[in-house]
Amino acid sequence: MLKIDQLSKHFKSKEVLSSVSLHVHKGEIISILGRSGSGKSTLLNLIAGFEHSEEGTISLENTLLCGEGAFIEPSKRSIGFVFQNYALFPHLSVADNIAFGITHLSKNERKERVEKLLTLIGLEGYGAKYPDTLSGGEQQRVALARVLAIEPSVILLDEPFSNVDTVLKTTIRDDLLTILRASGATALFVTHDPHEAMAISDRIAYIDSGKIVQFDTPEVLYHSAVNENVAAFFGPINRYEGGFVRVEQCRIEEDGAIDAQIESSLFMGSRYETRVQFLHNNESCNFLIYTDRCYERGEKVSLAF
Amino acid sequence: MSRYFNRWTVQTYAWVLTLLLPALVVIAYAMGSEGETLRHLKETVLTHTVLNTLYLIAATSTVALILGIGSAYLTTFYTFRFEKTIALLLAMPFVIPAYIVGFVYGDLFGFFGPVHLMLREWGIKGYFDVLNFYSVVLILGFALYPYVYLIVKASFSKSRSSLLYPALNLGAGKWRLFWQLILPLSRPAIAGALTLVVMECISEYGTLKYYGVDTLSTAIFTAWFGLEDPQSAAYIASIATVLVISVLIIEKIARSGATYKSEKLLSKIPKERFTFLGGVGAYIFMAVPILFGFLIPLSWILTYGYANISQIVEVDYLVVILNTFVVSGGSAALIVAGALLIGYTARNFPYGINRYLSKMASFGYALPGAVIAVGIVIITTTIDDYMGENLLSGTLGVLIFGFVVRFSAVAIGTVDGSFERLGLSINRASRSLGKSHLSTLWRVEIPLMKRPLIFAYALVFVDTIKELPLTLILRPFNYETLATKTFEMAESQMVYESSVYALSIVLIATVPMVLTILKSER
Repeated sequence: MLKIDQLSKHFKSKEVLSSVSLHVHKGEIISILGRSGSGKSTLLNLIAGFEHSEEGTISLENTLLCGEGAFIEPSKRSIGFVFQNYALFPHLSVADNIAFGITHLSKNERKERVEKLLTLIGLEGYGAKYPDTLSGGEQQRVALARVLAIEPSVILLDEPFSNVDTVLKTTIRDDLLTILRASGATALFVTHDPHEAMAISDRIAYIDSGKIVQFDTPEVLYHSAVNENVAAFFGPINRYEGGFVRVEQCRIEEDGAIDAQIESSLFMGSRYETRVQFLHNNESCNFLIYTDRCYERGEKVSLAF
Repeated sequence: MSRYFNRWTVQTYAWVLTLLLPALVVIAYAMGSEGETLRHLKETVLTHTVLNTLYLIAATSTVALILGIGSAYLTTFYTFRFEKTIALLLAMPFVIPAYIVGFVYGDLFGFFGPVHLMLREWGIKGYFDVLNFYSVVLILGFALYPYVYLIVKASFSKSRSSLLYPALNLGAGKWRLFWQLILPLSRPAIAGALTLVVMECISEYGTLKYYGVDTLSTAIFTAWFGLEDPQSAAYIASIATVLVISVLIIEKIARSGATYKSEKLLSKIPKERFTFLGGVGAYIFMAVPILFGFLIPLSWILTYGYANISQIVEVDYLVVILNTFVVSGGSAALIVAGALLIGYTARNFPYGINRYLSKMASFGYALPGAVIAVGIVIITTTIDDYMGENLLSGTLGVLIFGFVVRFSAVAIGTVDGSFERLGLSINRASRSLGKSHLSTLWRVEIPLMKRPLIFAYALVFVDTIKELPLTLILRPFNYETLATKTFEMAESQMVYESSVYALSIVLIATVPMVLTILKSER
């Protein structure tokens, strides 16, 4: 189990992480989600040991990695790191890249292990190639295999899909997830994409201004966000005095409870995005609603949500 | 491993401190001195040498700026026949050390030299002596303008149409464009280049000695060898150090508030063609430094070097070559290793003072060779006196240490740059895969930095080969290198025989120049 307790980090006078606590179970896939500059990459670097924290502790399987005067070097943490740019060693072949971290095996065993991993990532016969000759997706799989080779307790992945072609993203993501699940590894993804986070994670830690705002399953984060900001980050919401509601939960119904007036209705392909206006507690509200037909400006309707 | 004090940081601090030691010693020694000779020195020659140094700086800088900025402007904004060749030739004076250029003109214009012989043949009587201040200014100007040319050209070529077109559109003529836009935008580059020229002027020894011009650098030698007065030598050296520090501060001020973002994506301004008259003027302007700074000295060296080529099989020559390669090769290896240590620490432990280590270790490059040499001799004699036996003074190790102090900056710049290009993630990937810092450096980073490291090695190697004053003071007794041999032969009226040694220096100096060109074309 990876335990992060009350972790804080400053850069000069700026607080990048503030009392962050996170407990991750073995085999879990976790996303650390947030906008750029929210502190999510710093958190990953602290777990890997690339940076030092000022306060708090990180421990793995009951071993203290950092804090309380202790600091274990990145090389001795058994934590794998898949970098945003993959960071494959360009002067080494694919096989040598994968074998780089394996030290305790004999030459033959090492070779066997590399072959096994190449099969796992679907790149049999690629061992002699050099990283520069591979596609982005292939490079990423090699980077993952290189990390799996050291059988780490935890794998950290920093924005692993940010350099991947949008068209191929889903396939590459699914491949990566299958390999990770098959390996049984505990994994922490850093991402700024809420859809990606929901698609891959068992749980999501939403981080904002260096603080973990909510840590729960994707469903809970989406449907029961602790505040407007978290809710808005995962998808469009309509705000009204005293609360908010997801856009797809609002609809125009014949006998809806609220009388409203159409402001605009725009065709967006799969649906119409219709704006309505109504009074709620004597306050004027403006809601976005997905409709399947076009409405006339000024038309009277009734709403339900 | 502690964040602030670990094996890497402690070793690096020790290395940087060692590099700074000679300068610190010179200043400390000078502050505590008030000898009889020193008083005499203050009353007589000191004002004269300081003023001379300042005159030399002012005059040489003017020549170097005019030649350097002018040729950078022409080769950047105009297109013309033989453009590439001329642009290359303009940089070539770099390969011939100023003192060798000095010997060549000393011979050409000497009483028995070809110029006077020709004049006498034409019936023109009389003799004009070129061994004076003005000749030195021209020689150093021609030898040093490539600094300005190369640095300012790099800055000019970043001038983008996004800036120049609006100015042209607003009705600015070429003249105004140059003075009000192009030149001010390149102010940081010009300040940087000028600083290098000034440093070289303060450091210069060989040419000045040969032409009989006294500056701080030659005064250190006079005090050291002539008067055998180390305190005075240290005192003069400390004045030179103060001068260097002032120049660095002025450069900092000149550069401040003038950092402009270069707009990489926007298109370059298209090059123009000369008008007929403008073209003639431009070719003449560019031909002058190429001819006097490179082609004439080179022809002389080639002619006499070839005539004396038989020397290269003699034991004397072979010993000198061997000596030079041992001392320069050893120094360059140490310097590159030190630069790797500093670069690695600065990048992987970027806290507090560690960010300034490269700058601190580079200070020696700003100091004249003679100043560093004086500092080192004070250190070694103090240690030897303390130990009661001659352990260090006059050993090869001391000379190598001198080179390391003086030329570390050359490798540090290149090594820091290539660490930066490599990025952090390669290093981190290796460490998270279980490799130590040392193993990461050795197995991943050094193999990936092979080219820049070889390049840095070559640059340092050539700089050490050319260095004269430091070698003259620190070398072991009778230990001759290419630089000392060239200088001593030229000084003792054996200038033709020295040409083989001069030619060897020029040939070796051409190697990194070729590497640079190949690198930029790749």
